[in-house]
Amino acid sequence: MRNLAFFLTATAFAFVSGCAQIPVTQLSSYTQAFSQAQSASEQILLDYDQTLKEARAFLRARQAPAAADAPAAPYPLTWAEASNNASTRVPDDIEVRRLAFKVVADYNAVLVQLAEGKSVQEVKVGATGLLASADKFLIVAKGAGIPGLSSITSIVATLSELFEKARLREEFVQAAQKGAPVVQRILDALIADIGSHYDARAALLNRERVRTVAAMRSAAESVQKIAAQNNVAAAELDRLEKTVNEKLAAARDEIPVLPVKIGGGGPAAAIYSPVAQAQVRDEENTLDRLSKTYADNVGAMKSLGGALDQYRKLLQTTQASLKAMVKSLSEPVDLAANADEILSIVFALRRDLGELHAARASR
Amino acid sequence: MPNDTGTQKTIPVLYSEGMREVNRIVAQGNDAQRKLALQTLDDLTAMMLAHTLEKVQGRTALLTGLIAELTQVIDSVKVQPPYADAIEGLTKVVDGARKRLATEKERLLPPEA
Repeated sequence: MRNLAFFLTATAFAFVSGCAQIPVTQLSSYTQAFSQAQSASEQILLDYDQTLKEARAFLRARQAPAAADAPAAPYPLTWAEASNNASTRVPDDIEVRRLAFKVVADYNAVLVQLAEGKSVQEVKVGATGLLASADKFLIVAKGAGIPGLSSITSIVATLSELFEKARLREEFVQAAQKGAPVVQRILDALIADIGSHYDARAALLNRERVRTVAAMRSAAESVQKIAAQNNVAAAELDRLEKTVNEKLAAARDEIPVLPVKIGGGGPAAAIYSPVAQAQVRDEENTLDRLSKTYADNVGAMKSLGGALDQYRKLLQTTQASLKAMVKSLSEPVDLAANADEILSIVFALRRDLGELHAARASR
Repeated sequence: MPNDTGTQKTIPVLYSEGMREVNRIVAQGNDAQRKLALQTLDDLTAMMLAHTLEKVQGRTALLTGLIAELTQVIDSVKVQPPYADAIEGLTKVVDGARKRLATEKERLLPPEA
């Protein structure tokens, strides 16, 4: 019995002190960081999806007119074409990214399950349940149960708890060592993706902005031309000049020719007819609309840039947290921190063994 | 297109340089010059978008592989102990045996007079 006591005590000590503890604090930091990044990704991916669709539509529209305008047959005309269509279907870029987030979330859920250790209680209940069943069987078969059952049950519960905790720790270490590098590479790809998202959206918005500036200059030049061809009153010329320059000011950094001058044709020119006035009003309205388009364009790009920068920081924080969690697995076990647990287990085992010895001796 | 040092320029660099020239003409050129600049704008935009989409698709393929790899890691983790089913099964066997033994013993008892 003394040898058994020593063996069980040494086993308990080895299990508690020799295995790496599950770093629950670092795990929590990592899963929370990832959760925030995943939340942020929902809006980002919506915009990314829209951006990629617009990019593809722009490129399709530039295809050769014959190819773009050719009517499509309602079904593939040959088997080769039909089977080619099925095998070369490209995966949806955005759906793959959403799936990447989901798989990492699933992986994190598994790590949390291992850390929570609910199976420890299930194993304890299962093992002590088996003992209780065996005791009842012996009572039916021999008229007496297992001597010192409560002590044995306590020892079995303690050991099964230790075994299961050690198994969970080992599974956690294995899962972290195998999975963390893959998660890091997924996060690397998502961070690199931010560059592509920005580039694609910037190219589209840049095109819109440059065309807007060109249209603003055309509208201003139209007003100048109509005014120069007509006998426009001085007050009206002043008003037109002020209005046109106010609208062009939205793009002042890109239009170095400001302020533009609007001069009338003088008394020798044609009367400033209602038709000419209507044309000028149209150009003013166009300038007003373009000025807002320009401001919205610049605002949209700045807003996206800010959002992508925040999103990048969240992904990088997630990477750092994951790295810290994996690193903590290889840190030496702090025996002082585990001392209470070790001592509790050791004393419980010695007490149970003492009671078991007493129960057997009394038979 | 090589630069002065002979190294190949990347598409983003070509795009940025091309856009500087387009912006200059759109801001200062006449109507005819602006029209030509807008055609160049579309060409540069198409070049940049095609380059970006290619990178996106490459990353999609990479992520698809990584998703499969991480799924395998998840599948390999044993959250439940492998012996849990064995303990449950054994308990059922012992309970079953006890009930049968109890039934047999009752059957073998002499009937009460």
